[in-house]
Amino acid sequence: MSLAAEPSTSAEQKAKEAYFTASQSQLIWARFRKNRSAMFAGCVLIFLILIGLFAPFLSPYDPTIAGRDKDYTNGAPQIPRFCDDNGCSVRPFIYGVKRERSIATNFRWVTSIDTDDRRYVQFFVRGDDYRLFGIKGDLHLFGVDKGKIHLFGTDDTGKDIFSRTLHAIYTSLAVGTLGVFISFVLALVIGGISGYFGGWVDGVIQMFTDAVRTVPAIPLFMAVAAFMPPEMSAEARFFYISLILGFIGWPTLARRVRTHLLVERNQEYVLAAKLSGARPGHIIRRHLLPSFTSYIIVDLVISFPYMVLSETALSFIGLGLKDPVNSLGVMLQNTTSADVLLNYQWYFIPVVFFIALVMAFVFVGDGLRDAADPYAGIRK
Amino acid sequence: MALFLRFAGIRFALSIITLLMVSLIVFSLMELVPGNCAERYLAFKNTQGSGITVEDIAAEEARLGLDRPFFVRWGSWVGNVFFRGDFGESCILRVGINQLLGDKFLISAAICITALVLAYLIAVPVGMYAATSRSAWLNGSLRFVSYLGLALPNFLLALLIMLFFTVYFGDSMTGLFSNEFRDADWSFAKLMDFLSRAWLPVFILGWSATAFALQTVRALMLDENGKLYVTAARARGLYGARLSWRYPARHALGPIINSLGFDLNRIFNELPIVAIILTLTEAGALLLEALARSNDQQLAGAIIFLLTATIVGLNFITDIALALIDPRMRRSVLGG
Amino acid sequence: MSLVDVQNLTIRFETDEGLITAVEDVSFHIAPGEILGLVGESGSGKSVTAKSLMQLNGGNTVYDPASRIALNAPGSDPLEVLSLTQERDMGPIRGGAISMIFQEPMASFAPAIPVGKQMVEQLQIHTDLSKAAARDLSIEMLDRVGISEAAQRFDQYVFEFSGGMRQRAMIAMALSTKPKLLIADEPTTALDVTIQAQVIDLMKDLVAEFGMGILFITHDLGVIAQTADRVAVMYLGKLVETGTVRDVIRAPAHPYTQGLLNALPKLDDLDAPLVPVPGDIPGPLERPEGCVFHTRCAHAIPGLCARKTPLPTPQGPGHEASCHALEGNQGLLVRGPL
Repeated sequence: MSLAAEPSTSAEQKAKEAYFTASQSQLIWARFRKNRSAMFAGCVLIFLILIGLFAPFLSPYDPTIAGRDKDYTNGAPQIPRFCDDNGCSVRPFIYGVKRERSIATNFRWVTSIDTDDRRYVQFFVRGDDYRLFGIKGDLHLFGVDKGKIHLFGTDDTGKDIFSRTLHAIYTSLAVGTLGVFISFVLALVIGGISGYFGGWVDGVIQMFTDAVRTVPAIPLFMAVAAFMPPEMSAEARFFYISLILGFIGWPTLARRVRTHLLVERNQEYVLAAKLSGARPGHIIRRHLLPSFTSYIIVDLVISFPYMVLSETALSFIGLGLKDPVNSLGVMLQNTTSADVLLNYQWYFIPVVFFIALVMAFVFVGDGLRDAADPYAGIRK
Repeated sequence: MALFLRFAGIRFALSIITLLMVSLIVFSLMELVPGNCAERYLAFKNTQGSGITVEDIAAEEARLGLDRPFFVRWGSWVGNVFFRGDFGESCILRVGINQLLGDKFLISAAICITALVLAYLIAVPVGMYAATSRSAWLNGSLRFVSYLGLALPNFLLALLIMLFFTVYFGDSMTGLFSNEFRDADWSFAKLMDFLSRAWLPVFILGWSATAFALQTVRALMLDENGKLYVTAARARGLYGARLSWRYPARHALGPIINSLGFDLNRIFNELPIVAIILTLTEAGALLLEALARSNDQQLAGAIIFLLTATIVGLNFITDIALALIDPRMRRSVLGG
Repeated sequence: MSLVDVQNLTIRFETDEGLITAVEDVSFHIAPGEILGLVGESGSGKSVTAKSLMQLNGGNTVYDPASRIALNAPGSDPLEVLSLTQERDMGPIRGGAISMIFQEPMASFAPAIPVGKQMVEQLQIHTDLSKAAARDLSIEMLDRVGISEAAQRFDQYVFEFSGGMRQRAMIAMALSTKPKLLIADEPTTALDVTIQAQVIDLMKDLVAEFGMGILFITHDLGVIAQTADRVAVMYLGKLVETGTVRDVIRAPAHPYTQGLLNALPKLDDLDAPLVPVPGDIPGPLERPEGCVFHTRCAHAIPGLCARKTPLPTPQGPGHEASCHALEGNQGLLVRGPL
C-alpha cells in the first residue's frame, strides 16, 4: 500500500531525518540558535573569554607592580585621537603628560597635558615579558612610541587599569571554572549517592544538605577564608578560594543531580531497558547519563556567574584574592575612599566589563535552559 | 486543634534539629581554624608587649575548657546558647558576646527583613501583572531588570550609589546614624534619624531580592495561569482581576511564601559586604570586623549562628502559615 | 432554529514557527435537545473547536474573518460569539448560556477552594440568587447527580472526592445555571468503564430533562454510538463526515471513518484482527495540501487529492462526506483541472 501520494523532496526528507535522529545536544543547539538575545550574549561571552585568554598579549603592560608607570599614578584615561588643533594624523596618538610638585601646587603632584608632545600608537610592539599558554613572549598588540598609554587610566601605584581589567577577566573565568568544577564533582558524588541509594541515606543527606543551605554561604565562607594564613602564596590562595567557591555551590547542584537521578531512575524507558536485559552499567551510560548531562551542563553555566560574583565579593572585602593577582574584587578594594569617589572615577571602568561578563553568562545560561527544556518556554 | 499542635510540635522539633546541625557545622568550622582561642588571645597579648610561654597557653586553655574533648565543648556551647542565650566570651576582647552584639543584631535583622518585605511588596503586584500581560516590551524590560539585579550585585550597586551621591551631593550617605546620635540612647529623634539613613541599605539590600522575587512571582503565576482550573474558571464566567486574585494568585501564594526563607538567606549573604561599603555599625559589620581584623572565631561563630537561626525561624513560621493556607495540609494538621 | 450554528470556522495559532492552522472551514449545528458527537484522534482540533464556542482559546488565537458562530439561546437575543472581543462580554455566555465539562475533573477544580464555593461563585455570576439560595441549589444539584451526603461534600475540596464523584460534581456545577448548551470535552476518558457508563447515563437523563443541546467530544466511537444523535468526524481540523449516528456507523462513507471503525473490535467476530488506520497523524507544521487525509488514504487519487480540497458531498439524507473518491463514484461533482 503506497501511502505517500506525492514523494516529498529529498532535501525535506533529509531535514526531517536530521530532526528525528538528532542527538539531545544537537536539538538544544538548534533551539538555542533561535533565541536572538541568547545568541548575542553568546557572542559577547566568546569575545570576553578570548580577551581573558589572550590578556597578556592584548594588554600593553604587565598588570602587576612590575609594569607600573611610576610617572603616571592615579592617571586619567588617555583616549587616542586622530585630530587636534595642530592638525590630523592617520595614526592615532595621545598626549604626553608632565607632572609637577612644587610650592606652587601646595606640594601635591599635579599632572598637566602637553598637547605638543604627541605619542603615536604603534601595533605589535615589544614590551614586558609574559607567558601565554606556557610560551614566553614579549609581543603586545599595541603600545605607543614613547612613554606609556593607559586607555583606562592608572591606579594609585601606576598600574595600568586596562591591562589589569583584561587579566582580571581571565582570573574571574579561571576561578569560576575551577569553582564550578569542584562543586560539580562534589554535587555529582553527593547527589549521586543520595539519588542512587534513596531511602534513609537519601533522607540523612538531604537533611544535611538542607542544613548547609540554610546557613548564609558568604558569611560562612568569609569565616573560612578569614583564617587563611596571610603568608599563603598567591597560587595557593587562588586554589583555596576556588575550593571555597566550590563549597558554596554544591548543595543546589547536588539537589538537582539527585532529583534528576530519582526521576529518571523510575522512568519507563529505564524499566524497558531493564526488561530487555540491559546491564546496569549499560543503562547508566546509555540511558541515564545522556538523559541529564545536558541539564547538568546548563546548571553549571547558570551557577557560573554566582562563582564570579562570590569571588569578587570575597576579594573586595579583603578575604579573597590579593595582590599581585588581579581580580575585580581586588581592583575595587580601595574605591570606597572619598578621594577615589571624588577624583578618580576611572577606577570603576572594570565594573562595566564584569556586568557584561555576568549578564552574558546569565543570558546564555537562560537560553540554554530554555533550549534544554522546551516545555518551559511554551507557556506564554 | 490537637493535630495542629502536633504538626507545629514536629515542625518545631525539626527546626531545632536543623539548628543543632547548623551549630555543629559552625562549631566545627570554628574549630578547624588553625589556632584556638587561647593561643589567639595570648598572641594578641604578645603583640601588646607581654611575653607569654607554652605554660601560659596551657593554663589559658584549661581556664577556657579547651582541653576537653570536641563533643563536650560543642555540647556546652550549644547548651549555653539554647538554654541561656549566652554565646560566651569574645576571643580577643574578653567581653561577653551578647554585650558586644547589643541591639546591633536586632538592627541588622530589622533592616534585612524590611528589605525582604519591600522586595515582595514590589514583586507581587508587578510580577502578577507581567504574567498576565502579553506586552513584549514590559516582559522584556522586566527580564532585563531581573538579570541586572543578578549581574549588578548589591555591593556594586552600593558602590555606584556612593559614587553618584559623592559626585553630585558631596555626601556619601553612609552610616546608620548621624554623628550626634551615634552613641545616644534610643529616643524618638534617634529613631527618626535612623530611619532617614536606613532607607539606603534597605533599598540596596532589597534590590537584587526584588529582582529575584519578580522572576519567582512571574514564573509561578505563569505556571498557575497555564493550569486547567484557570481555564475552567474562565469557562464559568470569571474574568479580569477577580479571576487572577481568586485563582492563580491564591494558588501561587504557597510557593511564594515558601521562597521567603531563601530570599532572606540571599539578603544575609550580602549584608556584611554592603555593611562595609556603607560603613554601617551593625552585626554584619561586626562579623566582618571579627573576621578580617581580629580573627575572633567565637564572635564570628555567634553571628553566623544567629543569622542562620533567623532563617530557620522564618522557615518555621512560613511552614506553619503554609499549613494554614493549603487545604491539603490544613485538613491533615487541623483534622476534619 | 438551531441552538448553535457554526459556519466556516477557521482557527489559526500564532507561534514562533508562524501561523499554524488548527481548524479549517468547519461548519456544523446543534438543535436544542440534540447530542452532537465530535470524533477524532488527539490533535485533530476537537477541543479547539469546542473552546472557540466560548472563546476560551489562548491569546495567540486568530479566527478567520469568515468564521461565524451564531448562538440562539431560547429566551434571549441571537448572538454572534466571535464578535465579542471583551472578556466582560463573554462573561454571561461562559457558564451561563454554555457550560463546559473538562476531561480531567481533578485539574478543573481549583485545588485550594472548596468545591461548593466554586459552585456558588458560578451561580452568583449568572443568577440573582442570594448566597444561601445558591448554596441550597448547589447542594440540591450535587444530590441530583448522585453524590451522597451532598451537604457535607459541599464544603470539601476536590482532592477529597473520588474520581467518579469529581466528574459528577463537575456535571452538577455545569448544569446548575441551566445552560442551553453543554460542551463535554472527553468527559469519560479519565474514568473507569463502569463509572463511564454511569456518567453517560446521567448526562442523557439530564439532557432529556433540561432540553439542552450537547456537544460531546471524544476519540471513542463506541461512546458516541451509545450517546449521540448525530456525529461529526474530524481529521486535522477538517470535518470529513457528518451524519446521524446510525448512518455513519452502519455505512461510513469517508475512508477515514471506515478506518476508525475497522480499528474497533467487532462483536460478531471477536477474533478478527484489528486494523489500525495506517501511518501517523502529520505534525501541525506539516499540514498536507489538498485533502488533509491523502497521506494516509488507500483510495487517494494521484494528482487530485494532493492538490484539491474535496467539498462535502451528500451521501444520504443529512449525511455528508468530503472525499474526491466519493465525488467520482456518484458522478456528481467532478470539475476543475485534473
